[in-house]
Amino acid sequence: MFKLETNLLTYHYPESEKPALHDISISIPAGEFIAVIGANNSGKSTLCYALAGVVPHLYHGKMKGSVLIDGTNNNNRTVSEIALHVGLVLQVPGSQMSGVRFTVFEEVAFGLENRGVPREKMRERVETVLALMDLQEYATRSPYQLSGGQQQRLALATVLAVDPTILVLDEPTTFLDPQGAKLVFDTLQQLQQQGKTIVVTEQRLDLIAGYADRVLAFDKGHLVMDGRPREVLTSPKIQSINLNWTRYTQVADLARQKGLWPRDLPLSASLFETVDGLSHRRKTHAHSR
Amino acid sequence: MLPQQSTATLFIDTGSWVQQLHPFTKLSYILLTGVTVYLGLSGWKYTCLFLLVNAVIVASARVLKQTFHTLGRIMLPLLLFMIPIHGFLYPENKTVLLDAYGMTLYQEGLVYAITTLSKLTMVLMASLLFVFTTHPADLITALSHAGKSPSLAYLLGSPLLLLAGMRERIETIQSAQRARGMQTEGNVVRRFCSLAPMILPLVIGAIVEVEQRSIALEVRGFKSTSAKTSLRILSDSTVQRLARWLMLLTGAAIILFRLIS
Amino acid sequence: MLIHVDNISFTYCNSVTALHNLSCEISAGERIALTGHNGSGKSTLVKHLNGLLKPSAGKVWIDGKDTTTAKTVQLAGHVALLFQNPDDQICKRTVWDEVVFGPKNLGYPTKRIESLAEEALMLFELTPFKTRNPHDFGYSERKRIAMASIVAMDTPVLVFDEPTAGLDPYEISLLTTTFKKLQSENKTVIVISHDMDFVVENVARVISLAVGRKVFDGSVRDLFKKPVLINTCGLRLPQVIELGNACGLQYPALSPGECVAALEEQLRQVDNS
Repeated sequence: MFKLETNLLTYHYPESEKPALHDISISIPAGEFIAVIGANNSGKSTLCYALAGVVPHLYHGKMKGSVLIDGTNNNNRTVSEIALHVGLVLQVPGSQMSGVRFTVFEEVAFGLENRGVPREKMRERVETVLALMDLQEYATRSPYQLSGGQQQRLALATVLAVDPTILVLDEPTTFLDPQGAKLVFDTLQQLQQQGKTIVVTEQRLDLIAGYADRVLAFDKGHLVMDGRPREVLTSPKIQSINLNWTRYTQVADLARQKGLWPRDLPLSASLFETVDGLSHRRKTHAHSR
Repeated sequence: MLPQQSTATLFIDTGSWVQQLHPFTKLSYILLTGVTVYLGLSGWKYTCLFLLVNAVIVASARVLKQTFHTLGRIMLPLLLFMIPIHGFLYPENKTVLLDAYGMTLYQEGLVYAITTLSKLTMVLMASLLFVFTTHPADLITALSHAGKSPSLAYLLGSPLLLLAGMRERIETIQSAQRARGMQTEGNVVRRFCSLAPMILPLVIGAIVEVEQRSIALEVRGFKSTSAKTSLRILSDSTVQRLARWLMLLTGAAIILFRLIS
Repeated sequence: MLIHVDNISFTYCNSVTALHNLSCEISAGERIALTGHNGSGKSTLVKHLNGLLKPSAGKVWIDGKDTTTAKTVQLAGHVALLFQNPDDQICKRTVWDEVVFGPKNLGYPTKRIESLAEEALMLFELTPFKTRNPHDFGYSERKRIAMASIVAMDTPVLVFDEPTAGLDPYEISLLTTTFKKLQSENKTVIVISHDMDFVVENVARVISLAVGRKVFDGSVRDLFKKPVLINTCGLRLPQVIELGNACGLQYPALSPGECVAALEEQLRQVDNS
């Protein structure tokens, strides 16, 4: 049984003619790190919403096919029940806040209060999660006085509080600087090592290459590629779906044209792979002399 | 560094005994004050007694300075406005107190103005006591404990935090429009016209925020039907519960007495 | 000199000092990136260029005008400023009305307003949506609408605050095209950005701020010779430069083409030795 499955998922937003998702079938085993890429309006966010049950439970609209979490159909659960299994982090961290809690600590506790967790257990859990997200020193601060990166970590903390096994993040790095973005992905990698299944949508392809086990590429609501990062990110198809190769891939491609890239080696999408590919060529070059 | 966001709470953390009281106890006190002042006892002696008692409570809550400062800011303009209006123009004016420069100040109007203002002062004092000594989070907790519907507590609680961000946003929107050459200074018509480009972004922003927040609340189990718990501990006691009932019953008795007589 | 920032300091009313003794000169036709951590004073600085903020000390001169005495309304005709969040800016019910709002405020003749708006809409591929409501669209389209309305103001200086955040690569390429066009018209473009891959390909000069002070002012190539500086500004090296460093290139290469050429050269030297 897969951790997360969608079967021929098609979804129309209300009053929209074109489907936002078209016949999407994905099977995700537990513990995988999945990056979802695609241009704007390609269906990435809608996929996140569908996995968390926000679509169609809160947006209504027309849905065909199914989303299964641990074998249970999302249609048979409420959004709040699904959230115990699938933690959804929204794109703008500010909108994840409850709006009725005055400190970071209370904000994280909010979801636990709603689930009736006893006070002592709640305190313990909040402290654990704050430590995990490196937010202890801000526990008594207002959630609205944090920097962008801290607020993003707080949004993640509020989701982690109820300990879901799957984390779904909708472009978590849009409003962060490059170092902040990298920090988010480092955190996700840690969570993966603790056994979580990660699904994250992302525009920065160079960031994905070093973290994801698998990349899904979307175009106009269709799943157009599904494979290992190196294979998907270096595919010529990337350009045709309004994305760009990373500069690493561009260099590798040019290098190949100039004979600086081993003929049987596929193009690369990350710094490490590219440096490796280029050094390989130099070694063979030296040997041949 | 960004300018710090102002918060909309007036709470002052003094740790006083009034602060420890359950929010509903303090709310009951406001209610009782209102009913007593407007429907119950009247007369100079009671007014003075009431003011004294309240002043003592406020002082022991260690918010005396803030309370009188705010009271002054609200009551002084009213005083300056109402005393002459009623002193000169109150319909039942008979007894002349002062007659100068063709203007006549009457006793009845003066008494009426002072009575009205002193009643208002007392209710205001009790309310300020509540506002200064109650952390909004405690009020929200109390409301969600008491009510069957969490939405009411949310409705009452959220503006405190959300309005705080509003002022900052208004400033940003205004800057954005001024940067596009919008006139914000000048005559009344021009100022009025400059409001429209401010309101639309603000309203749309609020709608988007409501939509996103409703998703966030849903995924965070806000509408979950299971019994809720609370992180904050609200101190309450049998004495307080009794006191609340007593205050509410007294209030009800006064209203009833008024209706009959 | 088009822009002359003369030793300015700025303190917010809550006594947070956002800028310290900052000076810089910018001439017509320059393309400049303003970089630094969140809270380093970048946004505060650009708000001085159109008089939204007035320096606590020092002076800012725009095209010979002192911003302390000139009104923002007048300066708006010289410096257009794109705010980070398009939703702070969009205030009309059709895309067309939104784009002509700025030029109308500046009092341009109708003919000119129309041709400017048409052109700006075309640059951001918004022409088919003229009569639509901006709020029918997603974030990135709204961002494009906001950018088109700034470009339509036809000012000698344009400032963009994080223009690439939330845009996909295709939309970023529209912005690149727009920058090229603005440069051909000898307009000054100042861009606040964390996106180093965008910066390296679109600007010539970088000004870096850290806690309200200028810590670097020079060419892009020189900036990338200072990795410590990149770190203190919360930035990351652009991918090509990172790659060049990892391959032991002596000089920072700014584009994939340059990088591969340098790699070839490196190999040739190995061969010769």
